[in-house]
Amino acid sequence: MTINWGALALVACATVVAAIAIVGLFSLGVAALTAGSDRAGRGEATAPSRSRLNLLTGTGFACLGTAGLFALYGLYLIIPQFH
Amino acid sequence: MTTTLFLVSVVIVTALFFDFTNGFHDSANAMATSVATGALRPRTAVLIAAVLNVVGAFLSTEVAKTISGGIVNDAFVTPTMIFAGLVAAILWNLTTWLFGLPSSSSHALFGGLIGAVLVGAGVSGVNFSVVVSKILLPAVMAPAVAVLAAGLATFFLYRWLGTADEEPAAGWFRRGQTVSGSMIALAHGTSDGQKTMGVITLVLITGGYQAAGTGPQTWVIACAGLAIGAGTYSGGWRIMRTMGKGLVDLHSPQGFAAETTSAAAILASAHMGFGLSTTQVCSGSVIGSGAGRKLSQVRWGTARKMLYGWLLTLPAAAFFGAVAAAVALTGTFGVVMVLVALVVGTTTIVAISRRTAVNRHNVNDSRDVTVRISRSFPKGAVPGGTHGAGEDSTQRERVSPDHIGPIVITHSPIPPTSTNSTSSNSPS
Repeated sequence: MTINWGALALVACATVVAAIAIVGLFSLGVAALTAGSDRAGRGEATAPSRSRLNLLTGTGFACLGTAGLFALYGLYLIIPQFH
Repeated sequence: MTTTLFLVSVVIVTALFFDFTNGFHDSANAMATSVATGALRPRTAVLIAAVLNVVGAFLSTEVAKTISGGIVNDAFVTPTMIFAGLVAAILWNLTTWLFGLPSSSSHALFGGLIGAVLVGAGVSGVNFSVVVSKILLPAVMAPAVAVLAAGLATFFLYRWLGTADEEPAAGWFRRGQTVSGSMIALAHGTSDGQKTMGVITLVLITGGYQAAGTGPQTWVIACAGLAIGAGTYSGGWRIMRTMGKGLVDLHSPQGFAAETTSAAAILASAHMGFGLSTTQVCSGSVIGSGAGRKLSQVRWGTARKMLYGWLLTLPAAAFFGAVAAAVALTGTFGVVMVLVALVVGTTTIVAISRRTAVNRHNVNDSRDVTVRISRSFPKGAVPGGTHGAGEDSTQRERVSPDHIGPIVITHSPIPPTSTNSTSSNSPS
């Protein structure tokens, strides 16, 4: 009986790393996007300045965009015509 | 009509029916969490999943060269054995669906084939070491990997974003879920759609209706794609309830973490040479997304029943496959008998499911999938005991006793509670 332990370990590691990376990126992105708009919306004293708000929004979309790239890579893997 | 043509036609129809059950069984894998968190309306969810399944079936050009990936020795396999295996897999898929249990359609098919080959070709027809390395070990590893990955992802998610359950953050996660769920549906179409195409193509080649070594014909691809798509669209709401509501009360960030983990695990296993069952990965991810937040959030009782279902899938399908093969291999009349048993079994299970129907309107209303065996029969009696097909009587035994599923079995209609109550907690 041949069990490909190497492949098994690889699959397990890839799954754990990819899950944490994508979910982490996405949640950091959402955190950045909501942190800014939330406080500004409530008109709190701690509302970030305009430049800081822009920075947060930029970071947020950058994170979501990177997570989106992972999704595109997933599509590339799924569709056999690409490789 | 010649005997060969009859047998080939029967196998093709049965294979397409199996494809249909495969579709509605696995609809929940892609969309249960999206439906449960409200990211997608139930009908929209199954429509997206169905379309992507069909697209996936057409995209995939690489059709499985062997039916079982070496689990049974394909040289010994005859169309009749394939037929018996398919019938067993269908009946097991329907039984687990009745109880709302997510179980692997591939394992059911392999189990059915193993049983049929054991009867038809003997012990030498089954490669037991491949059974261990390709079914048993992945069956243990798939949920373990998924629970770990989804658990960690969920843990970090709430760590970094404590307000994830609140709007507007929750809305972002719902949008993310739509993407991750769609990925699972597409990946499912490319892998499971081609299984049925492979079976039909092999039967056509064996029957001499297609040249050996040629790929599936266009009508085979179209029929298989549409069968799995139709199955997916029909929703398998009983299983969807268990996966979306029964295991964990999911919020959209957890749903996103679960679906992303599942997609990652499915793609990794497909491209790194160690196949994991989609169903077990997806169920494990849901459990992980609950455990990563709070261990007590997982309803471990439901998880345990699901585990029993997984353990039973292979032997139960093998048993049905063996019985079906023993009958079918006696000749054309035997094949007809098994076909009749399949129809009777399907009708019975569907009739039982109708008594406590789960559909797109009530899928999120409860956590439990209820199975009510008898309606107006006296205590202990089993309804519909008139048809004599052997397959079906084992089928009913499967359904009636014990606690295999996330279920509440009510053996008789709920008795009136108010009148002549003798229970101890009644007042006075």
